[in-house]
Amino acid sequence: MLSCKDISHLTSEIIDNELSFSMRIKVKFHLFMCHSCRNFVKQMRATADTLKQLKPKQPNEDEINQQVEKIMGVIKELDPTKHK
Amino acid sequence: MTNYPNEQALIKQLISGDEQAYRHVVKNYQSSMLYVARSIVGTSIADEIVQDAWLSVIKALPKFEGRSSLKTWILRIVSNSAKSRLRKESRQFAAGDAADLEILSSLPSEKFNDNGSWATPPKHWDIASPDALIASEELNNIVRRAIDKLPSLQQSIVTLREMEGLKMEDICKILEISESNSRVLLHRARTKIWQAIDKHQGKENVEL
Repeated sequence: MLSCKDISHLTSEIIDNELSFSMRIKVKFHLFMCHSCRNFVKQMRATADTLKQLKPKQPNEDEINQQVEKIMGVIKELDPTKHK
Repeated sequence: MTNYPNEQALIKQLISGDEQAYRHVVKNYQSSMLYVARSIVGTSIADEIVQDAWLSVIKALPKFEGRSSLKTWILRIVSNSAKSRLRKESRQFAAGDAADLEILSSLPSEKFNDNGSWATPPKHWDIASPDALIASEELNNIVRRAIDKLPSLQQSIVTLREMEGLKMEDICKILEISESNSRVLLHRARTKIWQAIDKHQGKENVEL
């Protein structure tokens, strides 16, 4: 039988639906019996879903300007006929 | 920000040397490029690698065949630049990967009793839904700070997989790690972020 610790290792596989059929049965059985693990899986699922909704980091305006300037410089050097 | 009807339109503008198109790509891709470079070569020369990658991107764009998304293609170029730098310096890749796998366990062992049951069961979360977690400015910052604290490979995986929605298969190729390692790293990253949220939700302190 799976322990709570086992479930804590399998949580990502549970929420990403990556368990084999037989493992899924074992996990379901444990979760049916164990309120704490049901809670943990629910919270880990909320954590993963929160990350999915989080906007990726973007560079600030200065960093963007600096990088674009460098790129435009390289383009000009490689092909002086290209307009800005 | 200029909107492009599709990736083809964006690529056409990039090839023609359009500054706005590059501004769009820098704004949306540069952070991921840095994450990937840091994961492979470390922080000190990551920026240099990104600059090398930009040069390769500009040169190779006319030959881009569209077999993957533009972002995946650019991140592969960053990864190749980083790996070729390591080869030049005769350094081994995957050191960071191995270290990540060895050092970090998913949850502290004191969370469990010897028989594997919870010693301190997860507590009730007052703010539990993803919408509510995102809406809380404090928790939003806590999650972002927790991501910043992750080892670089885990940061890359969380960003590319969860936030950018890249396929795990592509991420493994970009970061040159096995599928099973990537899953372990993703799980550990999620667990760390769970701990950060959990710590904020109640009085009990979980060591991060």
